[in-house]
Parts: sequence; C-alpha cells; structure tokens
Amino acid sequence: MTHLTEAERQCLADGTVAPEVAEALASHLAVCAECAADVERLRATIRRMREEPVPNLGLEAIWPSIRERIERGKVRALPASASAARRPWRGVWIGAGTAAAVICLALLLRVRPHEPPGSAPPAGTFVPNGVTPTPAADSTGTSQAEIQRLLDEIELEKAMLPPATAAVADSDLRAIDQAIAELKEAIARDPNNPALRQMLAASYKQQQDLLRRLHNAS
Amino acid sequence: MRRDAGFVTRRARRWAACLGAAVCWGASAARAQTPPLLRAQHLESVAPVKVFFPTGTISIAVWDKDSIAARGIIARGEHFYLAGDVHGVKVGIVDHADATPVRPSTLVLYVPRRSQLSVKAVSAAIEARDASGWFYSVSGPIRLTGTSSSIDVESMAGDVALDVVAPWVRARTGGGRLGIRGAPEDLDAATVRGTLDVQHAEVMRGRFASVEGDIRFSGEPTAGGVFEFSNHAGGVALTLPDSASALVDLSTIVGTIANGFTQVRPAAGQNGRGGELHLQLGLGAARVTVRTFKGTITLAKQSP
Repeated sequence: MTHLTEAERQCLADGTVAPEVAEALASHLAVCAECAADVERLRATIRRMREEPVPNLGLEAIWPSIRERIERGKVRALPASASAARRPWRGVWIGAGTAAAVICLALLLRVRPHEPPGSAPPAGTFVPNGVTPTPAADSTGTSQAEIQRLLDEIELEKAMLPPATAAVADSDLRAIDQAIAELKEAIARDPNNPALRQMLAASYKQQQDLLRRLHNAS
Repeated sequence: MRRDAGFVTRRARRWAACLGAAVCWGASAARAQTPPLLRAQHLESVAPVKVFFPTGTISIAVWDKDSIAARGIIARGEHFYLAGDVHGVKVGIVDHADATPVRPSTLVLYVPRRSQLSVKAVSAAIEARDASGWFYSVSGPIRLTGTSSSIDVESMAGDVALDVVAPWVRARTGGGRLGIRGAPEDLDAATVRGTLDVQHAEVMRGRFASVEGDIRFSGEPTAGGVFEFSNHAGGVALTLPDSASALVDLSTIVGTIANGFTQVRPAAGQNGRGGELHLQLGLGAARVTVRTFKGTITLAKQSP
C-alpha cells in the first residue's frame, strides 16, 4: 500500500488540505492505520502548541539577552591566572599601553625625515600621507599556518626526491631556519622594533616559497 | 702539356673535395640548426601549453601562427609526447616510472605568441624568447629573454637569467645565481643562498630579497620607482651613477654600512651595533630601502 506523503499528512493535521483531494485522503486514512496514527499524532502536537500560553515578550525586550549571549560567544576563554585575579587593573593598564604603542607607531610611520618634493609612488599605489603600505605578506600569522601544512606534506614527499635535490633543499631550509631563529632572538631582546618583525615575516615568506618549490620538485 | 693537364686534374680534384666537404659541413650545420620535426598541430592562440622536460635542452620560441610545432632529437629509448586538442596541449618526455634517469634530449618548441606556458624541468636547460608563463627547474639553468606579458620563474638550485621586458616578473632560486636585466616593471626577486644580480634593469617596483646570498644592484633607479632590498646574512651592494636621484634609507640590525657615495656617515644603532643612513641623492625621484640583519650594506658610486 502507498502511504500518504509528509505534505499530505501535515495538511490533514492542520486542516489545510485542498478540497479536491480531501475525500481521497480521508478514505486512505480510513483503511491505513499507520497514516491515521501519524496524522493523529501531528494533530495532538498542534493542539498542544495552541494550548501553551505564549510569553508576551516583544523583540525589544528579549534582544539584550540575545545580544549578550552572542557577545559572550565571541570571547575566547583564556586560561585563568591567579595573578590576573589579584590585579584587576592589569587589563586596563595593558589596554592603555597597547593604545599608546599603536599611537607611537602611527606617529613614527607618519613622520618621514626627508619626504621628497614631488616624489610620486608608482601608478596604482595608494600611499596615504607618504606611508609605504605594509603588504599582507608581512604578517607572520597566516604564513606559519601555511608553512606547517607544507612541511607536513614535504615530509612525505621528501623521500621521493633525488638525493642531490633533497640535500640542496635541506641546506636552504637550514639557512632560513637559522635566520628565523636569529630574528626571533633579536625580537625577544627588542620587541618594539618593527624592522625585525618585517624581516621575520620576510623569512617566513622565503620559507613558504621554498617549500612550494620543493613541493613542485617532487 | 701532360704535366699541365695532370696539375689541372689534381687541382680540380682538390677543389671538388673541398666543395664536397663544404656541402657535407653545410648540410650537417643545417641539420643542427633545424632539428627534425617531431609533431605539429593546430592550437588556439591563447591555449595553455604544459611542458615536462626532465633533462637535456629545451628552447621555446613564439610565433604568430595558430599552431604548435615540436622539433628535436629525442634520446634513444625515451618517449616524446604531444597530446591534447586545439584548446590546450601537453608536451614532453615521459618520466620513468622506476625512477631511473631519463636520457638527455633536445627539443625546440614553437608556440603561439599568446600561449600561457607551464614548463617544468629537472636538470634540463630552459631557454625561451618572448614567452610568458611559469618556468620551473630543479637544478637546470633557465634563461628568458624578449618581451613577455608575465613571467613566474622558479628553480631549486639552478641559475636563472632574465633579460626581459614584462609588466610583471616573479623570480626565485635557492642556491643558484639570479641575474636580472631588461625592463621588468614590477619585479619580485629572491634567492636563499645564491647571488642576486640586477644590472641596469628598468624597474618601477622591485622587491629583492635573500637569506645568505649577496644582492648587487647596479644602475640608475628609475624615477618614481620603489625599490626594497632585504637580506639576512648576505650583503647588499648598490652601485649608483653620479646622476642618481633617489631617497635612500639604509638600515642594518647588527651589520655595517659602508657609504662610498657621499661623506655622510651612518648613525650607530642600539648598543652601538648596526646602523642607519638616510640620504637624498639628487631630487630624490626614486625610493630605495635597504634592510639587513647582519649583512653589510655598501653604497658605491659607479665609475664613469
């Protein structure tokens, strides 16, 4: 026996069935206990929903709590530290310090000692106030993730490379690794030096390029 | 009289021998210049051409025809292929599945001028004129010349020589030498340990980087151009003409700066290490930034 479709059962349950098919559906329900039970279950659910009192809350009234929940979800929980709990003002000081550092950096970048009279950037380059824009490639975060992915792939493919190529690649990778280590060490000593950070980003880019070339070699 | 006739005969034979030798030499030279045709077929003018050529020599030339032709001498036992249709083809030598070395062959490829090439070699020497696309070798040298729409050239350890006019060029090599001439308008060039040599290139925007290799720039920075040099342990040497017009910012974290261009001495960096030097040469029409970690920066005047 062919049972009623889901749409037909829903329509029967909420009373929106088209008149031209109502008779045929009703006669099916009379002979099919399974469909009849299902339609009855749907009708009971609809009845229950209609009987439940709906809380009379406007959107404006419930929105603050919804927003609070959304904002809470955006915050990533950091491991709690005992010292942080003892020093409630620490966050404020860190925030103020960061803001000051950003302002100083902006001022440093803004003040160019010898801006040329009439010197123009190449066509199509947007240079606000003479500040050379830092390319996206100078950020280290995205590079590191990509590098790790490539390193994982290369480890598998390295065995298939000719020994001479693998040796060259190892030498190049060692050179870049050493540069990265030296730059990290220098940044640890002088964390506010933007030149060091840009060099580190450039080294990561070099490493990424090399891994891509190595990937092509295999 | 008989003696005269014998002399003439000997002379004629000698001439005939010389002529024969010349004909043979000419024929062999002609054969060397035009290797036998391997395959040719119709190809759309902008169709992609993918080439794999492991070892030997591959030369690529463009022409104003809607077809591709391959000439060359394929080593005995190696299998040449040119497969595809008018919308794109693959060309090359079949690699050995058992990883045994492929014998060197010679291939001359003629492709439509606007073809987008993708050429991959292992130890083969790649040479292309007026071609655009991606060129890659593991250890073989790459030499590109002429006018191109864009060039992306990479090698693990091979030398790369560019003498091109192109709006966009990206060039990379690890331990090989990277030499650049011509007019690559927007240039991004880098090595790991190899020397990066830029000679009289007309660059509008150039990024030059290395980790341990020396970077040498010789010539006049283009007016309005932006040049960024970055090196970790290798040196950066700028040799500029007396007429150079540029704003020059030199800085090194722990290296040294040698200014042979002007009398200005660099300022010492933090803790007396490293240094900085800012100069305006002429009207300062170009902007040159050099940054190293421990490599020496040298600014020198070009000899007239």
